[in-house]
Amino acid sequence: MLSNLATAYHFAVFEIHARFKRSVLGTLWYALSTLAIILGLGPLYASIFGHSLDEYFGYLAFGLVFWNFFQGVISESTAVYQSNQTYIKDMVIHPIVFNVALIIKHSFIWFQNLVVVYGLLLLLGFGLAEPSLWFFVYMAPVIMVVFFGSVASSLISLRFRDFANIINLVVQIFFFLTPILWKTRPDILGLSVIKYNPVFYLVSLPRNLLLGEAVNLWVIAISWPVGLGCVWASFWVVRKYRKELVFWL
Amino acid sequence: MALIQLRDICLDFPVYGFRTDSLKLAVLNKISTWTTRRPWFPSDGIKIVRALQNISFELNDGDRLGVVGSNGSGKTTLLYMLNRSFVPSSGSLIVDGSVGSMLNLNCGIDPNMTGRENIRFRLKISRITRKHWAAIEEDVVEFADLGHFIDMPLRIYSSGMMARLLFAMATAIRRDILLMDEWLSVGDADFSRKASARIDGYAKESSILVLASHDTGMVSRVCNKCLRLDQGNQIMFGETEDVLR
Repeated sequence: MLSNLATAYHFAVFEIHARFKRSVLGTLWYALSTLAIILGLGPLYASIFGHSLDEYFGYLAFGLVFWNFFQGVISESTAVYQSNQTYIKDMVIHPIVFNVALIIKHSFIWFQNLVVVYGLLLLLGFGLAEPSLWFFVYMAPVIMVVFFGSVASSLISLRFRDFANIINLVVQIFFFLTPILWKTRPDILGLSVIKYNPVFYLVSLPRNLLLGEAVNLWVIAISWPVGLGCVWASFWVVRKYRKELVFWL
Repeated sequence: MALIQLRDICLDFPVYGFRTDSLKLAVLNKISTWTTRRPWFPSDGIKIVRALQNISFELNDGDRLGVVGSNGSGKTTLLYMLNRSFVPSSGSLIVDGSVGSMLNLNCGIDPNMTGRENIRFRLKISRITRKHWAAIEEDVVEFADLGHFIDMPLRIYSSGMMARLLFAMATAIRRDILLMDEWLSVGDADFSRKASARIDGYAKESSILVLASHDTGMVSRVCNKCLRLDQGNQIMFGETEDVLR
């Protein structure tokens, strides 16, 4: 287990290193592109939706940071087994290592984006919650759920060649259905599109905490068993299809 | 002590038809069967191809097996099964010992990284203890003999240079069982001799070598046992000179 985790870490570091090898700024490009989008869209969308910049800017910024994490992992998962098939087939590396590597890579990018965005918002004088360890207690189950999404997406894409197109379309639709660009109001929270939208919870749990919402022990009591269940389900589903998986490559 | 033991091994390969590969068609067929009691896009099904049939042999310490047969006879599939990539559909398979494989020339390399960076990455993911890294890296660099190219990206390497590096990487990490697929034909004549000598040394240290090849001369030179395959069937297994006669 631990050696698989170390292997996943090496894959994640190698991929980041390979991608930004010839770049001076390296992974900071991710943070800069996020900043450019936030600074470009923030004032415009605040005026379109009629929100004050004070209440909207942090909401949009953190929403986009978490969305980028979610979207990056799910989109890349559709091709992760195919692109690493020589490792899976020739070196007999467990397929789930590549999902863990994706999570490590995107967690690193996400954390870097978060620090840069948090710093920018503080610099611009927006009111934010103090950094707290509770944030990681909120974020961990989110990562576990995304991990399950990654494993499911990788497996289904391998078996059905048209799934990658479908999932990319679904991800785009979810971006507009989820309160990232637009804000929720108490009177629309009961709408099915919000109430039954899993991405809404994935994005809003850590975002609301950073924006100053008090720690809710009920959220932790529910999200942790769900997260751990997702990790268990991920290992179960890969174990179930491990034998067939290599024929799908 | 290493051991490879196969008893009546069969391997079935599922081959998916175009329509069974599509999630959209699968969903549409479910809906149409539910509403109109017949699928609108009848599935072209999953064909099962028997890649290996009733393969039985046993290899012990010091054995070097040559696997021969025409294209499509199942040589590479057999190596992948010994590599534990494929699980047999029936029969009993025992592979006791660590396995090193040289089945794919492009396995585990990034063309944008230098030769040295690729060596280091391979060491990290091969679960070799850190204290051995420097010695193995030095061994690979020395054997591949690529000069200053070792610190240049792989994308500028010729196929011969690439093969030298990959061969050196694959044979630098010692395992109990070594699987090779047509590898000794890499590089120029000098390198080929060097590679043969290295393989001899490796095979002496490794307990078992399995080599799939069309080159019967090489098989008779390197191997003490031989297996002939034809369309997935075991035609003959025994001493090399008997099988190749």
